[in-house]
Amino acid sequence: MSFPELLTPETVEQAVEFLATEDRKTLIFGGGTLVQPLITLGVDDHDAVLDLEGLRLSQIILENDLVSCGAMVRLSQLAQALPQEYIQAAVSAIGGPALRNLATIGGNLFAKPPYGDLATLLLALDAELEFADQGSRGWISLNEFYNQRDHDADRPALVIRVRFSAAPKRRVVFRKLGRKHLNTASVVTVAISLLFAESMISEARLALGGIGHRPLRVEPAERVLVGSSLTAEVIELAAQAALQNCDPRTDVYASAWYRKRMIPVQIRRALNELNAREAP
Amino acid sequence: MASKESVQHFSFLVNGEHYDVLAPPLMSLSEVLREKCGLRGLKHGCQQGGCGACSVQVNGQLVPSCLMPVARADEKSIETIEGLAIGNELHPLQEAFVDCYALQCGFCTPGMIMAAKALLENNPSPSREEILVGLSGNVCRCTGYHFIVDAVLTAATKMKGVGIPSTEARERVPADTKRAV
Repeated sequence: MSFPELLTPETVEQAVEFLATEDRKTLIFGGGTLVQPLITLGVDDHDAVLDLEGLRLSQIILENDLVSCGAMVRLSQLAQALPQEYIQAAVSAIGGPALRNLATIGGNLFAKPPYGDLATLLLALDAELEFADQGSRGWISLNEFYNQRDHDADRPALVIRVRFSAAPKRRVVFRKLGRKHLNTASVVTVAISLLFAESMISEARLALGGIGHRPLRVEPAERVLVGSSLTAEVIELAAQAALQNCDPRTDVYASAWYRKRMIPVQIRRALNELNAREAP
Repeated sequence: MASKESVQHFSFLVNGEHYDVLAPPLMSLSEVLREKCGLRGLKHGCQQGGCGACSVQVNGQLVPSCLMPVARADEKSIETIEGLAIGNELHPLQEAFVDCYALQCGFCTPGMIMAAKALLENNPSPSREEILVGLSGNVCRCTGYHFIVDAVLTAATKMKGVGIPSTEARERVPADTKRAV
């Protein structure tokens, strides 16, 4: 059995340099939950694996309501540091306890549906990423990052940190529908974040996971919500609007037909759950 | 740094015993433990982190060893199912699995017991629901889980006030014993 070359950079600059080497196809190794199976099963054709462990990206910084996490923060570490119900719900929806001790926040952004539940929540939280590639280093919204990757999936980019607001005045909900209660792939994942000005919604983020080629924001549904209050009619309109720009897939867990029917159901339930909560 | 060497030297403690191994750095820890250290208690199931049959503790933390390259286990302390019994004296969890008929084919049992051990170390008095959550990364296709949960509850009761005997504390093997494989 042959193994790819192991690259162990000690700085971000060194890692970017390794990634930019053109005569070598390099795969980024975070927690290992996505990449190690490819190596073990010999189904990967990359020449090298870039191990991020030496970059010391496992720190969580809490500053006021802003949470900043190194890309190598483990999911179990995140759940220990952040008591918010939606963080707990999203993390516990992923694998089992052992897997969560390895899986990272950075890696989850690259987990393809029906996985990537945390990334769905991060989209709804308007998360931003610090990234580095050859010649540039900066921050980008997760939504924009995904939009760019839709056009250039092979562009090597190293995610260094993820930051998001955990402001208590936001009302946030996370729901996952799977085939089992625990340790399951997603049929439909919904994450919604709403900001209220009195009883009216002033800002809405609605993200879906498990259905397409990556987690995505559903802007038609967000537009329905902004400027409205959460009445039964608005909830129904938002649930139906979500179907406008998503194209669910069929996989071993659920058919596209079933997912399409579950999307409005899950959104309706999530919005009703938010509505039932007292204003923060 | 880049490593083009096909095999490298790694050393770690397994159940308190020192091992030196030569292995490709990206070989999974489960493969190394089974094939190079001869510890075949942990099982190769899905090899994708989905079944929990290969669960071990690395520096006290439960991990699916199929997802960890051996390079990341270097200089660490690993506990496997083989480290639980002392001679013929079973660990309370092993005893409870026998007493409660918590296994049929036994393929998932080493991983289940390691996951249960990690759970009880963090939560010595779990509820049935907490046990289901704690073992949710471990798949059993025979028992239907009911008896496994019974076994963990039984072991938790037995271990109350006694604590979990750690591998290091029991000093099964003299500290200077080394194995090169």
